[in-house]
Amino acid sequence: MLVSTSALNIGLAITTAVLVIALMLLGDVPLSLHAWGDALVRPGSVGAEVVWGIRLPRNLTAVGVGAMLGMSGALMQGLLRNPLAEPGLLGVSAGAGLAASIAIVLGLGLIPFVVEGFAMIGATAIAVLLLLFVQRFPQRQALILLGVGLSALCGALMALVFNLSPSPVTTAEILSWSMGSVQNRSWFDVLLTVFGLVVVGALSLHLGRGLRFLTLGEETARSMGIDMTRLTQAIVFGSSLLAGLAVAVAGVIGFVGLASPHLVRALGIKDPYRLIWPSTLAGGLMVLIADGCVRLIPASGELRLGVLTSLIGAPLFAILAYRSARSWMQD
Amino acid sequence: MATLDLSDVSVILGGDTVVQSVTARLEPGKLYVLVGPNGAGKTTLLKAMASLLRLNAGRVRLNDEDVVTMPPMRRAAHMAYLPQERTIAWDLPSVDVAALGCPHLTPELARQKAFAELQALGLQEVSDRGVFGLSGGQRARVLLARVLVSSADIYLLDEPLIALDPAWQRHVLIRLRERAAEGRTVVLSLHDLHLAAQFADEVMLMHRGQLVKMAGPEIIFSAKHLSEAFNLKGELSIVDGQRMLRLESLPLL
Repeated sequence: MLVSTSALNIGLAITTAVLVIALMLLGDVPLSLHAWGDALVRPGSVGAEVVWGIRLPRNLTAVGVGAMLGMSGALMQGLLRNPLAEPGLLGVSAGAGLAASIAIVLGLGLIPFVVEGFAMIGATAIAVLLLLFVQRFPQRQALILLGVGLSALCGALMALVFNLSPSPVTTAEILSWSMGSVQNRSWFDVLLTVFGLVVVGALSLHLGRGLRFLTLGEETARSMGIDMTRLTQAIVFGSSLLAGLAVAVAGVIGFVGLASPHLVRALGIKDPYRLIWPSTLAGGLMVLIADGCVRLIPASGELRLGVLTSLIGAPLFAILAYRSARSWMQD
Repeated sequence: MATLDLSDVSVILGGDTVVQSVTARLEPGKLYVLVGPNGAGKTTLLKAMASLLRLNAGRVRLNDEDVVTMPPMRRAAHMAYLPQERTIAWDLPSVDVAALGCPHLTPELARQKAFAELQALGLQEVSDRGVFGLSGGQRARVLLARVLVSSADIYLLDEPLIALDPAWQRHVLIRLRERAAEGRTVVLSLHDLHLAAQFADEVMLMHRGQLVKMAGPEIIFSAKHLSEAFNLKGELSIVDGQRMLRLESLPLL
């Protein structure tokens, strides 16, 4: 192991905290030292509104969304014993995206929290289907096949929504939403991410050890007393809740759930149970950095977060995949 | 110490009766070797003992308690099972894989116990190395160490000698005999009849899903059983106090 799990957790948490504070200096409205002073001592001042009402919730939402994706990715990869698994694999993100696009097409996009609500309904519908399926067929291959099928179906239905969308403005609105962003997010969004992380974090602490035994296959895990149906249901539920909430809060943000666990593994932590928290923190840090870049990179409009995470994540993932392939060649 | 009682155990898989009406009593302190040709039902019987598949008839009892209704964690505390499938999903250090066998100890104690077992299996120098970097034989020994560190009363091992060279095959069987001598019930399946003859206290001969006979090697490796179950000609003799099996092929049926 290159670094210990606790050292990595502490390092990631401190870096994230420092960056959250540093990124509060960035924004469309430059704040004078006087305004900063006001922000700290005068609630209700312009400075306070900008700092506590806009910048801090945005940064914390970025961390929360990234953390949810990182945790979801670690759980999915551990359960499916597949380094290519990610939160979107089972179709939950696609279901949330589809439902959100339907809300936008129906003209409900301007009503607060309706798109988010639709996204959660879409994610829940897919999660319920998956959970019912797992009760009957707990095998991972069956789960992956169903997930890929559901994901493709939701993708096709989303294309249909685009196709039948009443105006180019609506199409652009869906497209923009689906590219992901944490711009103008509120404390409510921060609370949603905290809720997801607390619920699934507690679940992981309780059941995540099963993932360690699962490293040696389902039969070994079962022979060691692990209830595979219960473990699969818990992780499908947790992973779906996180992925659904992430899409509801920030739209589609790719590659974070896939890349975070790999990033942690590259630092020497391979145990699927011990990997959960570092991957969570790494995901939060990745999205925070990406959102910082979105705000720093000059563009005609603001770059979309989901576009940037994929642009950064894909080459990073390719490098990690190359390193893994090279180590396999040496075996 | 634990006794495993199988009464009239039958398992049907995909419409085929893979294990049929097996009755046996497996006692502590003995090393039982399951032998039989391919498809005889050895793996399925081991899984039935470990309660890893549904029985279509019969019961498996551990110290008079039905293993099916036993809470999984308590069953796991009594039984350690090594499947034939040798996959390891993640590149964990060897010592961490072996330490999975003692989940009730603190991580530090589990690692110490695992290291000692890896040392006994000649793997001390690779104990911190990821399992993906090991040879097939080393990886097989790491997985065996995971079972051998367990404090379970019953060891169920499906083909534990796969990928091991002849010296390590013998060494592992010696360690398993030591575990039996400590009062454990050790059951393993083997294809090597020579080793079965030398190391088994009792041999369980499986053929077409049935337990043809369970007895000492002298009885099981008779000309009649060898020709009927394996299509082999042979005889067991005692050389320098050791059981030696001589085998010859018979024309293919």
